Amino acid sequence: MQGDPSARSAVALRHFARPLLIFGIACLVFVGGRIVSDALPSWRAAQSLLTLSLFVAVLALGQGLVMLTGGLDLSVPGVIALSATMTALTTDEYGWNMGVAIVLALLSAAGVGLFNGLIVVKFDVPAFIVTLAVNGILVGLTVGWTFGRESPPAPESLFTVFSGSGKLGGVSLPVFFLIAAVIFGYVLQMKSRVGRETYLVGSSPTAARIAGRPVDWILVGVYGICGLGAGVAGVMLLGFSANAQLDLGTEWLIPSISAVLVGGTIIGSGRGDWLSTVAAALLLTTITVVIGATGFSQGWKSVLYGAVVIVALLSTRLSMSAFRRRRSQPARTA
Amino acid sequence: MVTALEVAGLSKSFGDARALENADLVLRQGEIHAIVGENGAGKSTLVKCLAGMVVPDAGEVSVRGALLSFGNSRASREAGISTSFQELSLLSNLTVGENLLIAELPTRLGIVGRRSVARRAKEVLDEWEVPDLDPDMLVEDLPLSAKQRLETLRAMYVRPSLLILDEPTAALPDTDWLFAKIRELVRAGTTVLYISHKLGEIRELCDRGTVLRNGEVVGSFDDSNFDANSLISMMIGRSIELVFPARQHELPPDAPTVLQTRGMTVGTKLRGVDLDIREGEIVGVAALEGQGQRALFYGLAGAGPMTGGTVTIDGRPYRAKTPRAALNSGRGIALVPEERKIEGLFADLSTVQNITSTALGRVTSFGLVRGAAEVQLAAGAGADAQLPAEFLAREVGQLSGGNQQKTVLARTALSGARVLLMFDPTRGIDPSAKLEVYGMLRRASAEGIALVFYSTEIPELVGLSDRVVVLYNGRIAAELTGEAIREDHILAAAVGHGGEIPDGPEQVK
Amino acid sequence: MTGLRRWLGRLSTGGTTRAALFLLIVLVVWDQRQIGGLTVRLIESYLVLATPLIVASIGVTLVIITREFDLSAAGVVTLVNVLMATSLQSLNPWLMVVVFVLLGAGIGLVNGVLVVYGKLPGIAVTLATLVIPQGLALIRLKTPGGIVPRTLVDALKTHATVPRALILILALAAAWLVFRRTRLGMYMFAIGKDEEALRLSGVSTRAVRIAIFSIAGALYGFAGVLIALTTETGDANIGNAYLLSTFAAVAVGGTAFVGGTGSAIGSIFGALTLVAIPKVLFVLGISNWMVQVVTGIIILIAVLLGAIAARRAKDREMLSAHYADVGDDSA
Repeated sequence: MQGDPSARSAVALRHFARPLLIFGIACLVFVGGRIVSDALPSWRAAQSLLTLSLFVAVLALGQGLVMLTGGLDLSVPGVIALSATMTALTTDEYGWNMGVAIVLALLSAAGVGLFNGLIVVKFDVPAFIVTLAVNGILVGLTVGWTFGRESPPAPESLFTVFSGSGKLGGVSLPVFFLIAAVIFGYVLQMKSRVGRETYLVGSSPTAARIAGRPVDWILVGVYGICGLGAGVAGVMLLGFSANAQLDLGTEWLIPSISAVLVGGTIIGSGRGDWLSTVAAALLLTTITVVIGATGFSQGWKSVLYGAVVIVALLSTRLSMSAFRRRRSQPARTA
Repeated sequence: MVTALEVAGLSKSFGDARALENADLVLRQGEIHAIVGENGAGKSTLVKCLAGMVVPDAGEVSVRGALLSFGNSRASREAGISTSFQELSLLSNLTVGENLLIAELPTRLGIVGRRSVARRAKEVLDEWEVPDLDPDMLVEDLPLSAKQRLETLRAMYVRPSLLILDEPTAALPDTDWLFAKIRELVRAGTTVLYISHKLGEIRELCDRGTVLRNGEVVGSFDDSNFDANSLISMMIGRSIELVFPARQHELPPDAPTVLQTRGMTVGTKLRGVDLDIREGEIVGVAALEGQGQRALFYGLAGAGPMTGGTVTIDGRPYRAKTPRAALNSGRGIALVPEERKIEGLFADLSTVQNITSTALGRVTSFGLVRGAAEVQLAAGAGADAQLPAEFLAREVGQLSGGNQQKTVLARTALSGARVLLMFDPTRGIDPSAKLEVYGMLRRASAEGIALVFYSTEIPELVGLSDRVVVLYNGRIAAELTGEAIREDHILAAAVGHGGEIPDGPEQVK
Repeated sequence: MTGLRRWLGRLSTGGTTRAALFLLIVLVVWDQRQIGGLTVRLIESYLVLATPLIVASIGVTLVIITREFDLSAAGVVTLVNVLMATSLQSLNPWLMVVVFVLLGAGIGLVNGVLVVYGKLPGIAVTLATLVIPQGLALIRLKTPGGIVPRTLVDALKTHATVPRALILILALAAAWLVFRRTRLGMYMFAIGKDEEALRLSGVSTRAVRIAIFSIAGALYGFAGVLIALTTETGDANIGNAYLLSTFAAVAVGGTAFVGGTGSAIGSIFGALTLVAIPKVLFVLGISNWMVQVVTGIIILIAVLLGAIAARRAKDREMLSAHYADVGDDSA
């Protein structure tokens, strides 16, 4: 088995070629930003880019697992609003300890995710409708809760950490969080039992059931992770934007889903890897930053996102069928 | 001699799985030509290439001298080809009439009138002497045999110049109507390609025939006086006697009963089945399509419902709601499922990941899967299943059918289950892989594992089973042991003639 | 005999009937609590307000019947709404409608081609065609505004003995009843049930799926026109609400998300219900923010009811033997 280096290098290629390629494109776009703005590329821009990528990556981790299992979680904006508002209100209004407030917010976020998962699993209904409805409910409830007290402020320390004003050795703190998130995500999705079970269920739920996998629990768990991830992002975004606005999460849903798709994850399959998702998050964020620097309408951002998603979907499909063709060739000549 | 159809060098692969390899075939005008072969021999792929449903990788097909363009069902239809498919291409939410006329629904001002469909369909049904089908009935309300007749009628009523019938009698109680209609068409000039694995039917109906094995044409016969045994050995590639490994150790007479069912019922599919399976025993289950065998296997494995009766394992009551519960129960019950691609495999994951999927706990520490340990575990189990090591890192969806099934078996072995329910474990795999699967069954039984296996290949049941249970219409129609395990006995019981045992398999109608 | 059985069967599983009853209840509550009851004027403006959602959700219904998902409705609706208020103003207004309906159909065609020939998941493709038109709309019109042709607005809103909106809704219902009996309509249902069987029957399922995506796109385009007419302005942010409410209308309308079944008439009832809910909550004195909450809960309940009905049907299918005629004592 130690022979067959081609098989092993093929595996290695599949592991790292795609993320490197996407990362390379991201770097090109970043450097190419020079054309539209003198402020690009710069260490300063890179730091803010990495900060923005942090939020996308944190959201894309849970979303990616959900998408592997064939679902889609659209309740993310609602969960972000809920978690940010909870943290801000309980510390500012009720004077709670920040740690307690955050833990409680995260537990609620995970709870919402588990609820989504339970409904999807127990009733076998399309995830995106359930989560769309839950999103509406959450946004409504959050509005009701904060009524008359719009946008409570973030705790001071949270603001320092995530706004980028706090630095360690000249590097703003969110960059360290991003590194930690990437490592954590890699271990969770690619190395852990949870990740493996998710791939099995995604690849074939029926086969997973017959192989004795606890399919229902995995599904519920994946939605729980997604909810928790949105909760974490909510707390981070609260710090980042200093106030718990209700639409805090809206603009992060599409980038996180797009990152998963652009990274080559196929909805409802065993195909997709975390590093590609991260690279795609960087690419999409870079596009946002560059467009921001041009002073063009934010509409261009959506247009480019959509275009990148379609190109990525098609190239994933093409590379897959090319892979198939290569594989079936020797069989015929043999 | 006029040539109705000429197939030259037709090849088709799905990944590493070769479905058709350089197949040649010539049909004379007005003949009924049989294609015989085992499951997975390439018969259905050939049919689908001709019908324009599958694009072959290489080769040519000409119909009465004109080249057929591939992958275009309309082109095939216009060339005069009409096909009745094995898997029944009927739409359950449409009526009998709508299904019959589906490709050319009559419209007025763009609207498909219920009454005009019913009227036209009634004409067809009357003309073809199928009075018991109501054109207004929904197809989902029809019994399987009526669906089968509708499927064949739909192919026949257009009076095609080339009629392809793929296993048209699988669900028919008798063949009189079908054969009469086929002969009528032939008299009017139709050429027929008749795919079946029932040799008796072929002897009765067909003029000539071609034998497919593993995607290749391996032989042919020119009249209906073929020798059944040599034909069968052509189909499976060696003589029957050599195929099955003999039992190494006698089954001890006092081997304890492991699994027992009493009155096991699943809706109206399975109606009160009593089974006793002993340690180390191989129990074969024989049945024609859809006699409750799937309900039995899936119900026992927790993968399907069970509505009545009791099951005990080692004397303790057992009822599994999920396959997971079945695997974790007393001895562990594992299922080797029917639809390998959908129910058995994680097609886009590696072979290693497939094999270890039932035993992840063994290679996990602190919530992380240990890569090296996993590969080692998979390599060991793969070797036991005769799976070449070079395939371990490959995506399992790209392997051949035989290697895929070995992957499933390796996985099942790793689960540690002591009761194995194998639903047609040799379906669509090549002969050498079959032999290796037989060997694995024997080894498992020698280790004291209780095995229940269903097969569409009756010789397999005869060659491997200590006992054969024949299901018919959801009930046990016969239970055969020792010398009584014979193909003819099994077939007789499977078609519902439990009482009278005919002389040979081919006389069963 | 079989006709009666089929009719009874349809009623028992009938999501449409459920949707109609639910709408009736909502309207009765509204009538009771509204000071002065429901006047003709009130009903007229309510129907006008509901037309865009009705049209868009019919489009979504068609796609769902083919067992696909289409998120692009909100995008197309937004883009057309903005273009109606900002572009082609010199054109004959009726021609303008045609152009925008065709634009919608074009986007639907792109969806269809990418999904069918690219073999891509509909949900991913239409996510892209959701955000691209939204972005274009935002580029065209940063803040709400613009002018919508008066002729068209009057054509929809002018007070008449029979409200124009009602005529439109009835026409849509009639069109649906015809469409489901056309070849395309029947193939649409067949694809949702069993695409492979239809393909083996010799029907080009690819063409059918692309056609359905395109028709749905045309309907979204028309819905965008109607929004422009009801709001009399262009707004690039209008679409987000439509993402939720189109699917909500389909769910409340009793179309189960399993493919092969569904009704545009149900979706009409569903859309009417959703538009009535804020009004009813208002007359009941319930705060504004509760609207979203209540809507969300109603969607959840509707989806779950549909799922339970679908599961019952599936269980029946699983347990019944399909070879019952061979048996001696089959019930």
